Amino acid sequence: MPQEVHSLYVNHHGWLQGWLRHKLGCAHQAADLAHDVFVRVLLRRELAPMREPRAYLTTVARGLLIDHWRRQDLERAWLEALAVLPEPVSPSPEERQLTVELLLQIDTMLAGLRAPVRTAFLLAQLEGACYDDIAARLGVTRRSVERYVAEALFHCYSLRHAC
Amino acid sequence: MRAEPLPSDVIVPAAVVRQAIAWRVKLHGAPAGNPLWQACERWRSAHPHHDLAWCRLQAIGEELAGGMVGLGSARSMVAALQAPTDMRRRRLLKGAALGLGAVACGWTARELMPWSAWMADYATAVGERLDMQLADGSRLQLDTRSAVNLRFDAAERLVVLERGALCLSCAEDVLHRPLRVSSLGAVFETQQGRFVVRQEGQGSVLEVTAGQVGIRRRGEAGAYAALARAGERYLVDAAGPRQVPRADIAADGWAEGVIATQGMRLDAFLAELGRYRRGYLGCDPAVGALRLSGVYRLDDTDKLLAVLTRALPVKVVYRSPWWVRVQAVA
Repeated sequence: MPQEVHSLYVNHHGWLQGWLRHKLGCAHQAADLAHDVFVRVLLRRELAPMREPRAYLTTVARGLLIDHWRRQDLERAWLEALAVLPEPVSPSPEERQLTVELLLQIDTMLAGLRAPVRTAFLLAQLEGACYDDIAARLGVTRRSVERYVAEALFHCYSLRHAC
Repeated sequence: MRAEPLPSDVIVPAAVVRQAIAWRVKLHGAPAGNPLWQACERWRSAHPHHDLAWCRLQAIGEELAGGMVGLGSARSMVAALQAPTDMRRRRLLKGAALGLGAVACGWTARELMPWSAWMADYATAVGERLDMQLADGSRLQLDTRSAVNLRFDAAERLVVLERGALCLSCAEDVLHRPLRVSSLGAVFETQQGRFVVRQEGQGSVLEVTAGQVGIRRRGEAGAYAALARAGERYLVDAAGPRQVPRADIAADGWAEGVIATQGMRLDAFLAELGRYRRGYLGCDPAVGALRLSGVYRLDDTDKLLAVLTRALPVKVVYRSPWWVRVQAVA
């Protein structure tokens, strides 16, 4: 562990865990998230000397908390959707973890899109539904569905690349 | 050789991006035999920007549909993604930086299954390999995280490598059709032989283990740009085909379920091994230059990592099953 991270850990780990416990109301989750914060800090290459180490740590922790809560929302909604399938499925812990990470990633990427655009795109990309079916489900024309999918694709492209 | 700018830096004009999107939308759900696919191929090969925009859109699809295969019902996932966000808890975080989420999940993107794989005829997930016989009797093997489409018709046996790597043992065809592999920037053609094609960066690497293979740049017809013989290795990218020295790893080792190395650097070895694992596999620079030789089975990469600690002065540190780093023994 680099020296800076080491001293960051020694001086602020306990404090960060307390801050997270206050937000989460659970000591175990707080310990896990505090650990994740330091892993994230380690993975960041540039570690400039910090004037406000606790502000830095809470910034990282806030991002992880938001992900953590969103992950919970997504996981709950996903398990509910699985439960009402004609033949209910119970995913293994690994499948569960993989799926929830994937859901979070997609959710983050599509943030900011209008609801019908997002729905049309998801149905086309993930379910592989044909445009006519999507149009029927959304109560719009096929041409609108094509526009929605194109808009979402352009949104995703411009998030990743300049143009 | 021309100096090519790094593709990640190239700015494709927005108009071209929109054209590429229009192709994707138009081709949604079109069956493989539809002539639109050929028209799209022609559009892609008309200008490097076209192909780049197409490939970037494909990569985005990969991030989205990644991991879908074998992970239960897509419908449940779509339902989950319509779930409302519980805003009460967000208020606990005044001034929270919402943008961080996007940064935070960036590093998981590369390990997920591609969109092309979602749509492809045959695809493998991370750590998976596939071995099959094609209609003409040829043997096709797919490496980890790879995808192919098959387009066999009266004139040719075409295998389109969408991602990853394949190994093909070409069978003699009763119809005397050439066997072609179309990959990034190149088309490889043979009547008889065994070879490996692997996509690397913006190009394709060919290694021939038996027979010979003709190389054309994609979109070009006529005489071969180069002819690769058994034991030779070629790189084909925007600069065209050129012979390169063979690597210190057997190109077709994975087809036998192993990584076979001769004096390979540990950091390069771990980078290779990382293709078969989900998550982060890191290497402490202090041990990166250690060399190793041997044949390592790919079935169980955790066991393989444990074997390394007996061969070299290293230890394997697990922070989680997904975060592993090889370090010097203290």
